[in-house]
Amino acid sequence: MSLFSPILLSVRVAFLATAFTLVVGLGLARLFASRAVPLRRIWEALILLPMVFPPTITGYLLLVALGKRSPLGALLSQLGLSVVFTWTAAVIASFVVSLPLMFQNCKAALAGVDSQLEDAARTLGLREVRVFFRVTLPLATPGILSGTALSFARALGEFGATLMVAGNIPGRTQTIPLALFAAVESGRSFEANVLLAVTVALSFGLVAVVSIYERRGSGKRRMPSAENRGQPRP
Amino acid sequence: MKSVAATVALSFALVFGSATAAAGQQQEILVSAAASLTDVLSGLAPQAEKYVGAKVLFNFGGSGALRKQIEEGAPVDVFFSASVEDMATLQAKGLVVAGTREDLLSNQVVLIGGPAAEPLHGATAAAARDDLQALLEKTDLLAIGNPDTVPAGRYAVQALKRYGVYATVASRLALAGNVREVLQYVQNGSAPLGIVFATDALAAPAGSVKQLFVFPQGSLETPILYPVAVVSASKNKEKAARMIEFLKGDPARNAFRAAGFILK
Repeated sequence: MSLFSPILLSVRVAFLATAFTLVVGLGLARLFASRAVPLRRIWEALILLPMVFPPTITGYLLLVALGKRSPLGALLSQLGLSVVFTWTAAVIASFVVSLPLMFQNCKAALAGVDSQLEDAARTLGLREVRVFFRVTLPLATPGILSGTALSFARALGEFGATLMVAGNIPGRTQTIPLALFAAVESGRSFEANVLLAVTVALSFGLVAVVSIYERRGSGKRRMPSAENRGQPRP
Repeated sequence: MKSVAATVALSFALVFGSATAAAGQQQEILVSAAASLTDVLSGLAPQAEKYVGAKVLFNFGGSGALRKQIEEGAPVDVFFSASVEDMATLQAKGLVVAGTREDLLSNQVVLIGGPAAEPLHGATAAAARDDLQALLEKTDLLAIGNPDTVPAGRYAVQALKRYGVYATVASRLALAGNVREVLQYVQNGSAPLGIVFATDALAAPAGSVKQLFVFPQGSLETPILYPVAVVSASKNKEKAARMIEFLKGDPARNAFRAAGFILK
């Protein structure tokens, strides 16, 4: 039981955090790519900050921001929501530290899409939203996928920020990395080895899933791209 | 793309499905306790729950981080610190209930070495000092916790200074991030000697380290104490007080003693 709970919790936290980073990271990347956002560089630097900070510091800032003494925390507690020391806090911590990875990958993936193809779709009368979903997104999928894989891995391994804002409560907020650390610290090597094996299995599974999607994706995109149009096929 | 969406939808169902099942309505109290108490308190949890009449959850971490969490309004009921300073800070701010503080436990710092090392035999204080000096002169590395952040490291420096041997090893100290890291260094031979709490030395697998010398409690400027108190923001002060009562009772005392703590 004591081993099962961190595993379940970690998977849950990593999945949710990755889902949120995917939506937010992709959205922000798209926003910054298409529109002249004022102070764009500064916003980008802010998104990247958790990459630079030691995770404990990120966790400390989250603790201050969500704690009852901050305006946000006070508002939440008036609504009867206390985030600190819940698994929601673990999701938030993982989200914040993995967002930079998702954002950067999505940004690069969107920038790599041939704008001539998007323009062609526009001349054929497709609306902006549909251009994005029917043309840009499918072409950018490999890059977005690798961003998703990185974010998931980072979320799964999150330690410092989680420890600070979600606490280290066995059976409640103790994720695999926290349980692993506790097991090593107290010399419970069997527990540590099991958790280590699970982590290794999860990362192998992740790589497998990504490569399956990549193979499928490349199979689908057999239509001639801008570069090889008109050239004889091998 | 469709299959990606399907996977995401499925994982959402999985995540939320199991999340709601986990939510319980039982009354509970949360004890923020120093990491060095992890093993002994985890073992006491079932008895504590029976005594207190509520689910008892623990939040383990460094005393400084635990204090910070309480300062930011984390929903903690009981604070069990490994450092007097952190408790005093909360007391000064009125964040723990005055009059509920108990200095329950004490500990000792000990010099440890590998299984082949020879314990010191100095019968008098002066002889012990000479033995210690001789041993430390020979060693190429002494592992201690980083005195800036690790209480055990702070006490180690105090003890070494008190014995007048700090200058001998000052340039050959390996500073670890926490006290269990010191233990690891000595266990795997990275450092021939280290200074840890007596409870850490006892928690190491049998035969992996040897206790060479116990620094007498009088050799420290500040005594090693583990104070516990009810947190002012607790919504369940009655149960929290009962938890402290349990920690003062016989089953808890026996467990603490078996783990190598000194009872106050």
